[in-house]
Amino acid sequence: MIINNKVNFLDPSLDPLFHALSDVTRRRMVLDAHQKPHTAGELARPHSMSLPAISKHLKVLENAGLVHRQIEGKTHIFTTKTEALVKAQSVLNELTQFWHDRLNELEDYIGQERKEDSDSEQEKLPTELL
Amino acid sequence: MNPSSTTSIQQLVIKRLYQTDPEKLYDALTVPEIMNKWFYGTANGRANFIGEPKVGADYTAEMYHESGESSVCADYAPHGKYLELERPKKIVFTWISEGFVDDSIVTIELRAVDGQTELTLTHELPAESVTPHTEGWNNCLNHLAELFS
Repeated sequence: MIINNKVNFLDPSLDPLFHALSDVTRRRMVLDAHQKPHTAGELARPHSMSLPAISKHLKVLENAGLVHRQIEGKTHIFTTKTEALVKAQSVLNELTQFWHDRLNELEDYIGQERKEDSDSEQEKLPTELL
Repeated sequence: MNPSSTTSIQQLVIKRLYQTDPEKLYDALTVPEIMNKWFYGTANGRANFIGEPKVGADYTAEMYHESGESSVCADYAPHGKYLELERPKKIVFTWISEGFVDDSIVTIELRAVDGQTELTLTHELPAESVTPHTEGWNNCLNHLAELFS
């Protein structure tokens, strides 16, 4: 189960997804397209950026599976793909679950140690520490 | 969603002075080998211009970002057709930017001024595309200036 969690979180296929989300311009685009479908021009509007730069950001989002480009005549319309967002969320959840499990185990271990200490050789410990 | 009925057209005008004569500037604006040195709209990147300067001929201006992901295909590739070519005074071409601009016209005029050349670029565009195109053209024209500095 733990091994499985690690493999998922370390899967190289996740690189494009987290790379795409690592930039504030692209996160803004995802947010805009998530609220309602946006044309390429509408997604470009809040950013004072050249179209090569805008175009590049859109391609990165598309390759990461975060947005879907629908071409209607001469208009390119972008919507978000929830699958990619769910995927990002689930691997992060797995990671936090992993630490929950580890911390629970640590807690159990400490509890066990304390119990053993108090059960036997209680008087021996201080002399050893000296 | 019907942008054609709602979008207003605006005129983008950029003027620049170059330390060269109109003939040399005209060639830098039309010869693909020279255009490859400057015709990319980002601060860093590279260009691959395809198209001979002939009236009626098509061109594609491929632009790549040097950094980041390895680019197999161009990051951005506006294209169009040459409408007018008058060396060393005037260049007119159509400009299509997939997804952003259906069809637009760019006019570049050159004029000798005190041993230098004044370039005037006029681009009629849907209002929403003016800001990113201003950014892109300014980047291109900055790279062009580096050829004559």
